[in-house]
Amino acid sequence: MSTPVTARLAGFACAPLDGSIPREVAHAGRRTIVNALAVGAGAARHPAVEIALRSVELLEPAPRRCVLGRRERLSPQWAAFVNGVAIHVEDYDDTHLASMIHPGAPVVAAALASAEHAGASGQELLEAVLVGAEVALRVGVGIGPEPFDRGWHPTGTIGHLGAAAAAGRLLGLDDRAMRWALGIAVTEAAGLQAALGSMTKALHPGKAASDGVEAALLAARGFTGPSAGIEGRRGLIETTAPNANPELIVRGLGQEWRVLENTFKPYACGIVAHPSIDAAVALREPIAGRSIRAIHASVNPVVLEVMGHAEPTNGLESKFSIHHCIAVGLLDGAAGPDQFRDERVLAADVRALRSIVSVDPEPSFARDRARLRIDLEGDGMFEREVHHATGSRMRPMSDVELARKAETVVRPVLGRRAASLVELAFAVDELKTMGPLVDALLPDEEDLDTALEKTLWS
Amino acid sequence: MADDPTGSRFAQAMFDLARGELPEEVAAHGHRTMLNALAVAVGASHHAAVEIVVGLGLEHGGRPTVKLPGRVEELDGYHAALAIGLAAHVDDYDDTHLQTVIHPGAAALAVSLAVGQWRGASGARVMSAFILACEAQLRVGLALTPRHFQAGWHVTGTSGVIGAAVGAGLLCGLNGEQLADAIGIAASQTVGLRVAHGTMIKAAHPGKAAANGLLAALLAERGFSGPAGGLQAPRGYFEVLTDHACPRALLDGLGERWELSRNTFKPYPSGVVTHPIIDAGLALASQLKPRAEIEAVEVRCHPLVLELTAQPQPSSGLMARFSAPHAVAVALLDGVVGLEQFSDARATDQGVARLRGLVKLIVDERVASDEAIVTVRLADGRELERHVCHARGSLAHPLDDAELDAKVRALVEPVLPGRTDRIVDALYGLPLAADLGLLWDAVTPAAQRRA
Repeated sequence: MSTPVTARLAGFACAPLDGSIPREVAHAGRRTIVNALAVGAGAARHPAVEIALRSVELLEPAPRRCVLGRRERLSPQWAAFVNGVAIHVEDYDDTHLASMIHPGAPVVAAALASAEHAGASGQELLEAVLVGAEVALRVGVGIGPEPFDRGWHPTGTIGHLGAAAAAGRLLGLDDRAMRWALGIAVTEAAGLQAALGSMTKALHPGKAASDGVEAALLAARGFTGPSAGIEGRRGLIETTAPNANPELIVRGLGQEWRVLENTFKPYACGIVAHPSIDAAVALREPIAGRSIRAIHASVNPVVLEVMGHAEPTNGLESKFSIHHCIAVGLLDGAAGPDQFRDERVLAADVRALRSIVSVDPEPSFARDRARLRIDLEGDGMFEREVHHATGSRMRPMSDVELARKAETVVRPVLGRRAASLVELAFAVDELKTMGPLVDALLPDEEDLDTALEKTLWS
Repeated sequence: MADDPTGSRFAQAMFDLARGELPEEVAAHGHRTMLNALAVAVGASHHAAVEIVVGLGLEHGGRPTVKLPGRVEELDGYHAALAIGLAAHVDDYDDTHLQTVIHPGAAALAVSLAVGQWRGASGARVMSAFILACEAQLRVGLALTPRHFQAGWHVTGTSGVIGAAVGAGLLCGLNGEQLADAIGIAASQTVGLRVAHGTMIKAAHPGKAAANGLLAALLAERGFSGPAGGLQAPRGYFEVLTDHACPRALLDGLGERWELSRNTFKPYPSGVVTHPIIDAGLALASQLKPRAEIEAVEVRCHPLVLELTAQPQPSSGLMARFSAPHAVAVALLDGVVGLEQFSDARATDQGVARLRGLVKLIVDERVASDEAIVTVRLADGRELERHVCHARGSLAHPLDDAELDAKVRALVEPVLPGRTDRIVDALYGLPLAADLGLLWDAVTPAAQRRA
């Protein structure tokens, strides 16, 4: 009959890797972990994260596992939930273009909580993240664009499988139980694109991570699920991607690693805006102090489809505004979480610049290409064309750039611990336990208290 | 929909119904539905799957605040919802709304008991939340149309999470807007693919739906934003989950025509399309001499029987519930059909397997889904036939109060001897009760109080 996809993936997820991981694959895994933990810790005080935390705290779970950038502790399932939300909420995580999945949030959140629970080493965490990401990305690519075109949000749906694989591996599931765990994940795979623009979008990877941990915990205890959940009758493929070729999911499994294609975001918004922001950031210095008459952007047509919000009124909307992205790139030389806060969105200088941005679709441009032209008052014009945005496959973020991104985003929360978190995460496989990593993810309360004091006395 | 940009009309309608008086007939049927679900949950309270979930909840759950029907343990609200929903569905002995094929009682029971207990709600509010959680599921199911189930979704789970969000939201005291958010958050937590049939997670679909609905309500209560546009939003629930939605079914006649009234209770712990076949088998069994040698069994049936219950040789009790050959075989051999006939032991029995192998299913488009014609050919050449026009438990031939009472008693007595009447009384007294105390005292073992 057809390829036993679920069984093959389950076998892969459980199998010892023992030094058979190519060096660049291991490094891709480390970078995925660095990026995810950093953006997650950086978002520790985001309203969506606060609400998620307060909501599950009502259940009074045993306070054991790490919540990124916070002192609170939760059960493994709920820690994975809150962390999954945190890693994804600022749209600053990672992207696997071919599958449209952002694997860091569901997989790293599930893996960290499970690694803590199982007393795993850094090497085991790394392998679980690699395996989980690989499962998710392969299923995502293998089933094709049908589910996404239909309206499913694959970070949430397929994220469930990656999370279950990572968690299951760390809990030591055997082949059969791993198939059950994947089957449970399949039947719970959920997440709709209608949620984009609301907090519920960030819920998707959080739920994927927590359901994945729960699926693994259940399967470990003998709770059965379908053994062929992906390719079986009335399974994932039949219901969401009937035209998929299941064989694609497992072709080259163990030899070709999809996780090498995972890229990290230099800016906290959808990747289609990134080449324009690169151009804006590059032009910031040349145009500093000059009066600008007009800004013209030439972009791939998809940019206008997903980022056409010319006059955003809040942070969430601004992430869907190429006009805003260009404006903050020119003014601040950055497009990190701070550039998408309500205050920045409503600031006079940003509003003024946004209003003179015009955007033209350029069908010949690839999605990682853009051109920005700044017309100055009087004579004078500056232009910059970016052929491959920072963070794209052709121009990935270097380790130095990634480290700088990570340190910058965590510093407001982790304070003095910022550098040590990044260092530890880049060498995660050397850790004997999760202890040092978890300690490095604690917020710097001294900085927080000082900030509060300043507020009270000002 | 153009006139409902926030998708909040459905939520507001549920909110308004909760604050009004429910028609007497609806309240009465709500009681029966809850009694049926509760009895089934008690009957299955020590099922292997339930043991696992309870163990998980004890090890990883939060502070125990909710009791479990038929058991001594207490779990946190989330794990209690999961466990109760599972227990109420695992034996496939619950209820069916035939038009949608939804089994609404399990998720509704789970969420209303768990959140009702946790938030100290009055009996009346618990009852109301239960009824509206059922009604919401059924209307969502109608809107999804049969295409959704046909495409492979387990509609009990996918609609269950929406009903559970309504029930949980009402018991948390959410206003109309927050309820709309809870529904939207739940829409991104759908549960249930039919590939799961025959495994434990399938039984847990309504439990997981209830737990997810509870989570959605907690988040909405604290201001977590849901998607704009409700269930009809572009790239939202209806658009994504079915090729052919009928969103009008959500609000059409809401409050006047109650889908809950068409919810029926299962007379046998198996897929509902096997029930007319079991009826026929039992009637024929009474005509057979002991040790009569059966040579062949022919079953003329509705197409759904082949679609859902064709499995000729199930290897477990869970799978046997969806095997028409097994159902007719045990009916003929045992002359009575209850939980025992769908145990692992009976499913793997050689004599049963042999008779299963002699069963032929013949699809006949003229046969309705609650109808069946069973013909038995004996070794001595005789042929006996039975035509069942409407199965016991169907809309046309529902279980009467005495039959429901007998079912409840048979489920409760082995687990909680002597408690059936107390449970029935506590349930019927719920609308006047200040909280769930009396009901829990009735439906949990005495050992708990001695401790």
